[in-house]
Amino acid sequence: MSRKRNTAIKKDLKNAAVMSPTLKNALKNAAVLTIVAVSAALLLALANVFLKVEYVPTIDKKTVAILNALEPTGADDETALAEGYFDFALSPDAVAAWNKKNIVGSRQKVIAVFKAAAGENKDGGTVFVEAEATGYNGKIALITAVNADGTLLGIGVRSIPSAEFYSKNIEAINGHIRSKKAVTTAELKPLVYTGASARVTTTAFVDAIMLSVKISGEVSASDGQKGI
Amino acid sequence: MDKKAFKDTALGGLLNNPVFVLVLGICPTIAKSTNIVDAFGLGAATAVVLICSNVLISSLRKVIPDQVRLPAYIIIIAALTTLIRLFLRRFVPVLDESLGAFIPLIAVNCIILGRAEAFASKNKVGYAALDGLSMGLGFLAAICLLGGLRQLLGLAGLSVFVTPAGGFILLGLLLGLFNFLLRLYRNAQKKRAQSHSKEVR
Repeated sequence: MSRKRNTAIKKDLKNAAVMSPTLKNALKNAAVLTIVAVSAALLLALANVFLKVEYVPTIDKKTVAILNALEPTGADDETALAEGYFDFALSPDAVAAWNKKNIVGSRQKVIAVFKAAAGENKDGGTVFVEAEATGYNGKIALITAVNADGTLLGIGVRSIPSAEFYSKNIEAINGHIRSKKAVTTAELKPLVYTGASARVTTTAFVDAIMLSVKISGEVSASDGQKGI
Repeated sequence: MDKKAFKDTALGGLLNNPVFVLVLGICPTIAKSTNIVDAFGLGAATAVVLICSNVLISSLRKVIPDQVRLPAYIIIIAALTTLIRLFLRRFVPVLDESLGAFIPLIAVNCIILGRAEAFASKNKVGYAALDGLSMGLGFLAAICLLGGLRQLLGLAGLSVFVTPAGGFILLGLLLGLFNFLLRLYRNAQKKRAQSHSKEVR
């Protein structure tokens, strides 16, 4: 009796240790899908290393159009571009050093600082700052113009993930900040914010402007590149 | 390689054209055939994804279980589409900007999943690659033909054909013409086969 019972117990234990075909199939399916997904992710990560596009700031047609609109040179965009009306106010190394000293993290940075190099605004002291901030919808790059005495002249959009979303706000923002010597985050946010889903992108937009205001103050105060 | 099977697969892009016969991938075909450059760009990108996905899926056909074949195919196709997008953004940014959202939409193009399911998953790698090439070139030719015609008609003053509605109408006309010519070809082939069998008797 006890031998029979022992045999029966051993048989039950053996059956419990062997998986059912359904469970085996499910595990196999999950394993194959996981391997395919992980392989695809690794391949894309590797490709991203070699195919990543680094944005290099240039004084191109689009940039000149924005700068010319912020502080008109008296010439049209083509003439301003051809005759070098605008130039970099800070070298890329100086900008990188400023970013390293003043910004924590990688969600925002100054990309370039421009100045009027020819025409009627030459040596006028206006500084144009191209700054970038990352939000929920992607990167926002703005150019903010600041006069020598710290007066804001306005902003222009270099790139934005959702153009229609913000175009109606640009005029309102410029109407508010033009000729102001200081703006605060609290003043700018209501102008940019248009809905709950945009909250993080609103912050990025405002961050880009505030960053521009900060560096422009240091460039103007330091009389060119001396201070930075 | 079986000669008949090779011939049927190689001519698949013409006799079973994905746009004019199978009527697949119509949305990107109409949307991005407003000019020949965009049409060629999208057609070429789709063809590359199709060839690569066919090869990969065919080589993994004995490994991927039947129950999860569709999710696995989608992952592979989406990864290839992302690779193409990264490549275009790096080397041809103007085309990437022009094609916009239609590059990532290649991943949900019915031609690619359709060929993966109907052919690549059931045939060897060589045939799958040939099918991808044939169908890819067939799609490229169809979208370029439509793009070229729409651009020419637009330049000639018939700007209605550059609009989506006009593109739809022109595609319909091309579809009718293509199938008419295909039917003539097939009838001629049938007659030739019949006369050949009579001679043999």
